[in-house]
Amino acid sequence: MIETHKLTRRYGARVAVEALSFTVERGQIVGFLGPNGAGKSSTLRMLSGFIPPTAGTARIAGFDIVEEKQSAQAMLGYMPETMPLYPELRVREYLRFRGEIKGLWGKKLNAAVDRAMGLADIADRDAQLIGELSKGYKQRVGLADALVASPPLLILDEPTEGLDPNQVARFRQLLGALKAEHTILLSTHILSEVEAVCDHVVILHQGKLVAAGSLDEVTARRGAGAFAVRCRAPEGPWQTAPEAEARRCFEGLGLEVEGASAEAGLVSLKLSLTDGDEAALEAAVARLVGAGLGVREVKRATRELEEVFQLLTAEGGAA
Amino acid sequence: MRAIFAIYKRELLSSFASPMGYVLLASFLVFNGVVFSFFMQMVASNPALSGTRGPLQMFFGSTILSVLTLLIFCPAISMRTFAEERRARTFETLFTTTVTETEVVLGKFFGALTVWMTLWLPTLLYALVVRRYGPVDWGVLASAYLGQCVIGGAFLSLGILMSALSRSQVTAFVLSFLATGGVMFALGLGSYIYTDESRLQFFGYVNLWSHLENFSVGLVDTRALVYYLSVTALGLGLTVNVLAGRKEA
Repeated sequence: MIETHKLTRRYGARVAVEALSFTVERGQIVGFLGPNGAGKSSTLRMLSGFIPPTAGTARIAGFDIVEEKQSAQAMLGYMPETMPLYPELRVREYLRFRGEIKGLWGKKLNAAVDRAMGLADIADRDAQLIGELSKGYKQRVGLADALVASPPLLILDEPTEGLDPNQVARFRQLLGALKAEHTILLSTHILSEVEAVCDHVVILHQGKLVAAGSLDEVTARRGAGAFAVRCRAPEGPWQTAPEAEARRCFEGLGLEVEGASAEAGLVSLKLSLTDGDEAALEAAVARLVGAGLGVREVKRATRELEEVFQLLTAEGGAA
Repeated sequence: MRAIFAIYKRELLSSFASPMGYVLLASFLVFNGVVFSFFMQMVASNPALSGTRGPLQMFFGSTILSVLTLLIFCPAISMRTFAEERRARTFETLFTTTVTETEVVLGKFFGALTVWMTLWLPTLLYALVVRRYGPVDWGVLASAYLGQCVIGGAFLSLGILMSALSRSQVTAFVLSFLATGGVMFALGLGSYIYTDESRLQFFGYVNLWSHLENFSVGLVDTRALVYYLSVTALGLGLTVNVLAGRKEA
């Protein structure tokens, strides 16, 4: 649905987005993450055809965003970060206007406006002036606008910014409902939101791509080389000072002990490979057994998205 | 085509769903009502003064008052067209649909032109007032309105260009005032300054003053029409280019 190839955007000398390449498949709901100023909004503005890229290309449903801009734009509904609306119009007037400039008219227009208002849950506000609406309702009008022409792709830029927790919950429910018919690119920096609704993530940092893939892949890949081991330990130093004992035990193996604890005769160890060679793990298990410990569990550690995000986007951090 | 009409409707809706349109209409009518009654009184008290022209011709003719109407009200109509979209950032929602810059500019231009002619509409009543005292030549009157339409159109198109270049409506108003007053109006004054044939001809061709006069007495000069339509096309064409070259919101 979205394919970008070395997409780049500069503002004067400042590079906002640098050689960004990623793909979003049809039917995915993708969290587009990054700290403030990472280039998220610039990327979304390029994808939606608002600003042209400085270099590189991108395709929406196969249409080039520069060469076939109108065809590409017809495939998407865009909800910008600031949710600009015309305060002097009524909700229905606004949505009719938006529908008309997106090529709807007559009966189709009426049906589309009704449907979008129903989906965004604003049918009861159709005659209200937009300027009088609360922030949450304005946000929903913006969403109805993105939905009105039933585009296959929705691009939402921080849609839950400034909503109260109840509204956020309703919004997530709605996204879940929309998932069936739309591909969604959701920009946000609220990680719990991504974990709740997205199946894929793309993470940007300082204009560059630092991770992309399914939520599981991204969290597992960053966890690669980290293992959790649980074993039964005899009375003695393993029970009283497990960390020091573990360090002594694994000396020279290319393993680092990130943490250790003992409880009710069981020792839990958090290990990470220093040079990525999993042979070290085999040796470590052999040594544990040799030291008289009963290994009960060895598993790959996965990291929470939040931890991955912080790792990837720490100042000057790279993939 | 449909998109142009949609933009056009939105412009009218926004003009008359907010106080803006009514404030313009009221101030226009107060100003021109005073002007018209002034000409009526003048003709009534001293018929010889008006010569062959009636109060309607004087009203639409080349007085500083009719020029002021153009210079003040046209920028006041055009100033919000793009500056307001920029300020409210609706620019971004507008240009992320399939609508093209040309469609937006044309829709906004015809919207502004309709508002401008709506301001003139109630002045038809003046003709009814005049008819109580003497005959009204409706053909001449139509020519006067045509003049307001094409000259106003050119002013509005320059105003829209200035609005597309501005972030605030106040800047747009001042720039439009300068562009229309400083160029369109001042250029024509050249024909009162120079005496050599070629310059006289050129400045005569662009003389707003004499154009207003001709239209008001029923003289529809195609050269003037071509001139104003060209200025309109130039203004709108440049606006499309300004919008297409946008770098940031």
